[in-house]
Amino acid sequence: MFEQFHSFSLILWDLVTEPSNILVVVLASFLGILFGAMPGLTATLGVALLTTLTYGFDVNTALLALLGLYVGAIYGGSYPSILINIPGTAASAATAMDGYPLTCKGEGGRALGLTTTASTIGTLFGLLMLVFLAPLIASVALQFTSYEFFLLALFGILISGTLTSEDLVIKGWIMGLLGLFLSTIGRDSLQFFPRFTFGYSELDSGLDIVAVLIGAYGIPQVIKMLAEKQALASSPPLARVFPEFRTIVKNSKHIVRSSMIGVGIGAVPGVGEDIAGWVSYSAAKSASPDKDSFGKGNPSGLISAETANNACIGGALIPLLTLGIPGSAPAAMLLGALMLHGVNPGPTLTTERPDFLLEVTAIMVLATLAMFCNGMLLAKHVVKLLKVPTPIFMPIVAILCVLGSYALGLNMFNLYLMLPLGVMAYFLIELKFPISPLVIGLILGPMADENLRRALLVSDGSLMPIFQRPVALILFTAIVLLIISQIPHFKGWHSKLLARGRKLWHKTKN
Amino acid sequence: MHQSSSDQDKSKKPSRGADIKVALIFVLLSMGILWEVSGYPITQSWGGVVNTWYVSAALFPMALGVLLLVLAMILLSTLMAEFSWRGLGKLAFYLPKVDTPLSKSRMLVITLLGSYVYILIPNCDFYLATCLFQLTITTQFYLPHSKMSRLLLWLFGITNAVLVLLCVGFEIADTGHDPITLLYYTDLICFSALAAALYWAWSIHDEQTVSPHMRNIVLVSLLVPLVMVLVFKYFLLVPMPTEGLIISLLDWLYYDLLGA
Repeated sequence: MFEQFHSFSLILWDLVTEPSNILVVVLASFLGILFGAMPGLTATLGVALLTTLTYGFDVNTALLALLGLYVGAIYGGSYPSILINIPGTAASAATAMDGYPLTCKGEGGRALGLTTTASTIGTLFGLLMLVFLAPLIASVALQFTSYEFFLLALFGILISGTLTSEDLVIKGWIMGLLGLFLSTIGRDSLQFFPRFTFGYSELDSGLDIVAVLIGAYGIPQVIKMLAEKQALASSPPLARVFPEFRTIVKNSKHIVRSSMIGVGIGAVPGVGEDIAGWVSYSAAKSASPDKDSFGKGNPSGLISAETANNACIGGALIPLLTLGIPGSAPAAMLLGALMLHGVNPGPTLTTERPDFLLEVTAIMVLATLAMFCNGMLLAKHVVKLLKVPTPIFMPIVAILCVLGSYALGLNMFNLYLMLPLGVMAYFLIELKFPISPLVIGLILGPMADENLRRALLVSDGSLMPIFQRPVALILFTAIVLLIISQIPHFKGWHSKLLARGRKLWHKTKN
Repeated sequence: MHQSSSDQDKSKKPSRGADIKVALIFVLLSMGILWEVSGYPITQSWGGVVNTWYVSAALFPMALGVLLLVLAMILLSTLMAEFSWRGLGKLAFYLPKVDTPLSKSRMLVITLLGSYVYILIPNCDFYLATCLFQLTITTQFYLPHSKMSRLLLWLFGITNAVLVLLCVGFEIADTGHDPITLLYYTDLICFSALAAALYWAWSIHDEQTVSPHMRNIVLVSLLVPLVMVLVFKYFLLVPMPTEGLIISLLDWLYYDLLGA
């Protein structure tokens, strides 16, 4: 433990003593706050665009930029949530519940100060969990074979579809399968057989993940914001932003609970910061003796939502680094970025690059501090951006999407691919088909495909090892239970059973 | 505000109608996948190696096709329970509705984006294409229903049509043309369209209500693409998709005149 702390300190010292690193992380964090603050832009889009821009940088500098932007963007979404009741990102939707009422009371500066401090604490807690849990999970994951990885990929897609679907759960599962199908386009990795290429050589290497992600997250926002003529309300004048440590200490129970919720939800593949925010908010409200004040400017609600959505960042990095499975959509984009730089996240990462986890932790610490400083000093100026009219701003986003999807491979085909995928994503989102499972499916598809065939090759086509290996059996059972739990007949039977159990419990108590 | 159940049903039905169309598309997609995969080698030899079903490249897509078909059918049957069967027999059900303002705005954005990506960018200087696109799309939504927005939309449409005709004409003529010559002509067309748009923007400088907004739109449309080109091309060293007259001029300024 002491040696690890010593290595971490050395890595952090090396990063801090390089002025260019400080400049990169501060700028990236500021850019992230801008991305988060502007409705229509998302952390995922920001990471995707920055991936293309940092392709030529070395790994550490690229990670500084990407993680700085990620942390900044999740935090930045709270600005419009608090000031004009429009979440900048989905992660900050719960923040508006108590943030905006505080602004209406003239305490906008106080709200931003609380948000900044809560976000910083949440991110650092998530990092702590990353440092402690990642080695444990990685050591377990080293025992995994192809069956476990296949079932893990399948489970990740199913749980992402289940939890992110606003309407019918089956819509989420269909999107996951669609993502898996898109990942099969191109020449397969085992036999190099062309699948669904229809003679186009451009499709031989499959669909470019960056172009798909930019299309899936950027284009729908451009169409939605312009077509629906969403006008931003003007934000009220802002007093000084300052941290309120007394309020933070008073809400320490909420902070600890929210941090753990954030990390837990972040670790679930494909489920992101938005769900962490809402779950934490609901938990804080349930646990509070003053439930009625929630939604009317209660600082506890604000702190809980923001702590959880930032703790989610560390949580999302846990499965990303240890299993190669992204815990959230921005983490999915980070996975693509890491692979572009020759880093293959997964159980072998700890052996191939033993210090990588510590490097990521040190970078995240810097990114968090940069976010805190940017938030405290620059909040008032970032808010001015909200005044830019949507019809002026969104076409610029569209142009950035075009350049972003072209710039990585200098391939016009990516551009031609991005737009129809984006239009398709827009209509699917409007019909409440979630996009996250599609993205998770696209990223985990190769892992699922290769591992399934490899597992069957080893067992000569037999599926029995699923039932003979304990982890595989647990994953298989979890998948089956997840599917069964969504069948209406079972749902009805389950709720009847629960109601009967509650009745019995009350009877025995009385 | 609480909706009555009949109000909720009415509000659900239009989106359920759209859901049914999407479910049908997924059914067709899964059938298409299975049809395509049926042609892949499952046990036949491929690449000089005898295949077995469990390492075949067809295994995973086939499984996906079957699962997608099953889920799409389940979705369809779930949605049918909430929707009237009678509507499905009518052709009008399957046609897209473009009569609402929202549908029209959507189609406008998608058409403008499509023209920008598929016609302007591959055939014109990136800076000129981007300026024209930004000017047109911003005016449509910042100054809607104004004379300027209608003029610019017509100009954009005509420019795209002329570009398509020119490119098709060159292809048909097959004169062994130098692609640089085609790019020169397309850049001139785009430049002329942009010049016309700027002239019209200047001509309304007397109109108090519209002129300040138009001035902002013009400034943003000219400056933002310039900044993007400068940052991407000279700082990040990313070449632009199509480098025509303006970008060649910038190259000359940056490399020859400034000696960078």
